[in-house]
Amino acid sequence: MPGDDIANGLANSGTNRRTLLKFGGLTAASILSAGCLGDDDVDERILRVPLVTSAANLEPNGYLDQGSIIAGDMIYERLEMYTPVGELRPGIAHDVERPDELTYRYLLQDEIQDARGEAIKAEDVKASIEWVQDQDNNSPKQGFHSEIEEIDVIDEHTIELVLESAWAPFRNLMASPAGANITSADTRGVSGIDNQYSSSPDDIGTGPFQLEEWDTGNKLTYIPNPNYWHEDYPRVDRLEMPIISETGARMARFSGQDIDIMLQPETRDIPQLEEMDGVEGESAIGGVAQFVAFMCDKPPFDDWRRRRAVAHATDRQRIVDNVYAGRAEVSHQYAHESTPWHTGDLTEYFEYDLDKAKDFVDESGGSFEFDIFTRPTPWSQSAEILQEDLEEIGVTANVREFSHTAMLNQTREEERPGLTLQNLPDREHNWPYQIHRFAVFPEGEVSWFTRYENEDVREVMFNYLEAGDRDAQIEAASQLYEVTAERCPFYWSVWEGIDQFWWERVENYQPSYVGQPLLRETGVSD
Amino acid sequence: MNYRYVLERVLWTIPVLIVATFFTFFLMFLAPGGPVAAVFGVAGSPEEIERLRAQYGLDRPIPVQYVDWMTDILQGDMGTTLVIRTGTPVSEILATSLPITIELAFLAMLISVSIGLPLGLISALYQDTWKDHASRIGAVTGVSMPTFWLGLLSLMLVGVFLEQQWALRGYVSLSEGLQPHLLSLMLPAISLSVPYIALIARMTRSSMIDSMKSEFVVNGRAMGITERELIFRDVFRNGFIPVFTVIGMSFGLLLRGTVLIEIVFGIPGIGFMITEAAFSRDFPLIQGIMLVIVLIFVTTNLATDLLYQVIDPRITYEDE
Repeated sequence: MPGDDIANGLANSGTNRRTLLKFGGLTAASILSAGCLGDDDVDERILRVPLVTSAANLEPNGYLDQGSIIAGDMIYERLEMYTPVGELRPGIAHDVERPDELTYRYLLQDEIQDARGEAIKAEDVKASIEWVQDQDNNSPKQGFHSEIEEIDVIDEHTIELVLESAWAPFRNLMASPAGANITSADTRGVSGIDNQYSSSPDDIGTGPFQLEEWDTGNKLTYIPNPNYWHEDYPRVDRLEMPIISETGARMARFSGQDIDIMLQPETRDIPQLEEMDGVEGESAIGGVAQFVAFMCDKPPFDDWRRRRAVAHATDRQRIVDNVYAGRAEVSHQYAHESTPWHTGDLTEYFEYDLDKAKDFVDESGGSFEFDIFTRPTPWSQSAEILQEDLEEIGVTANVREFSHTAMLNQTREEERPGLTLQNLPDREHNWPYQIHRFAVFPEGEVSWFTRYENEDVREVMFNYLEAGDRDAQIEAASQLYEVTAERCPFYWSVWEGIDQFWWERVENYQPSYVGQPLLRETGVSD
Repeated sequence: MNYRYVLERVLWTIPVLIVATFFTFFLMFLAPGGPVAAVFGVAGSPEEIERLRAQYGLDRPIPVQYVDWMTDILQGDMGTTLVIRTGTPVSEILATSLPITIELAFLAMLISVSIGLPLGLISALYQDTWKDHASRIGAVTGVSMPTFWLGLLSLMLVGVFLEQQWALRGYVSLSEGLQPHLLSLMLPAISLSVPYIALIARMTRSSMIDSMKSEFVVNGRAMGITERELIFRDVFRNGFIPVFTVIGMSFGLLLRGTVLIEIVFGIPGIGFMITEAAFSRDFPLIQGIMLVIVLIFVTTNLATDLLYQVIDPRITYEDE
């Protein structure tokens, strides 16, 4: 009967919902640097970029998903911003001074105006950050601003943020999508008249575009900000962001040249995209790793031998080949090899070895059963591969697919024993970590910034990132994925690939791969 | 018009509506998680969650919540959304999305009837000829095709291979012009209508064939009435009643089909919205949309029943 495939449709529509904050922010930066259609193409130069998001989550004032980050970065700016290649560039502030390790003194640009022509001053910055900090506003960015103890307006163009305790990645955090969007104190987003779900053409930022229309569930339309301070942007007359959550429709509309840029295509579509005439593309390993986290304080994984058995039963290469069609990379340690924290000297890891896994199972008392909580495909596919291997050694693993929120809630509420297969951890749960994000330090170093609830893991992480000599770093790195009776962190599975494609008519589009070998310089001045 | 028949039919819709809405309301509470988790995500403390539960009255018994909800509905208050555009009145979202879906379903219905009826008629008139076989093969194929797949196929065919840019542009609102608006609904409506064209064609064929075997047709021929007159005046009118039932039911089914089509074509109608609402567990919005869908189903069924009498005045209640 007609309509019998509802379930499949629903499942398909949700496959791309990833919270890739960093990727989202940098993709937004990439779009800003994208040029226009050829002059002879159409009278009005329209750049059309699909938003891969749920209409329910889309909120340019928030940063809950990649689509919202991209949509918001068209309108708003932060104190500093990222370039498409992941370096810090001026935003509202042109420079930062560090009088001491707790204080960040932001020097604001002299003549920055919002789209109405109102000058943005230090008081506006203060109001913007205080709005995010205010619990009543329910800002999803609130937690990231809790470290700011004091905000001092020094003069019209100077503001100091004083932290409670030293936190190296703070500057990067403020430049990332998690940082406060800076707007004039009398605009809606800051004044607290509405909550954060209130984007409309009334919302005015200092970004390159202003929202012309938000056709709910359909598309966002932007026009250039006439007062934008950066002379290079924007180079289009109109920017349209249709929401195309269905992957097949997105592919059809890109193939028919209705949309200009294809972000995060499905793995199965990539060969076809690569063969298209007039399409440029880049593929790289991204900054996101799939990993396995154990619930170590509950059975069955309160026994380290069972943890080790699962580690040895994980066939990373098969996940790379089957789930990602080769567009991923086996991960053996916490940092990717493109980062300074990767250590090539660390060669030992839990190799795929079912015999060893079986021995650990036997030592721990024999067969056991547990649940694997996973987000939808592709993570669920990885979980199924693990499930198959575990079955061979007499361990029953039940793959439970959950929404991100539901999974975290259940984990936090300690309702579910087992392990989780995730791409990014999130806040406030009882896993051994708390926040885990990718960062690029001002000097161009690449790192992870992390805040751990678990003292033990926090200490290991600190040792790892701050290790003064190579041996200490290797030692710390080895502890990071060590699964023993004493330690209970997580172990690494694969780094996911990132692919982007765009039509040649789009000038100067710069795909963003942070900290990757394929990172490239482009011709866009900044 | 038999007024007792009309009155009884209208009165019957009330218990149907009550039962349907109660089950819709009740089933929401069987879903894992619940609305509070959807709003607070992982950041909500137990105190915050309790506060929100109390704020939305979710801490009261379900029957009490249902009665309150229905009371509010009858007063025109459908509540506000929890997740999608938080705090927006559900009626406001319905006001923008429902007309789009109705328009899409109506267009699809129009296409289904305009093609399905003649196709079925031709098939019946030329029974067991190549015309009939072709029509039947087409009908079986049409019924078998998933709407979702048809949508994608039509996008690729018209937009990519035939290079018709209008087909790829996605939904265009009426404010951007009537022509682009209708063009943007063309492919979705055709994709949505294909299974119903097939359904109506099949029903028309079998109904007409049955009707053509009736005694009045034999008598008519014996009386020298022309074949043309027999078919269009008598056979069609008699055979149309079951077809009319299918058409009436199809409108409700078409609304169901819009869920998938609206996702494929990115049309912000109620099908799209209910998917979003279901994913985000926006209970007030799900309930509001379900209520509207139930109302449309019940209303179209009622209208179909009432129109029977117009088509065939002999139809009455059994006990009359």
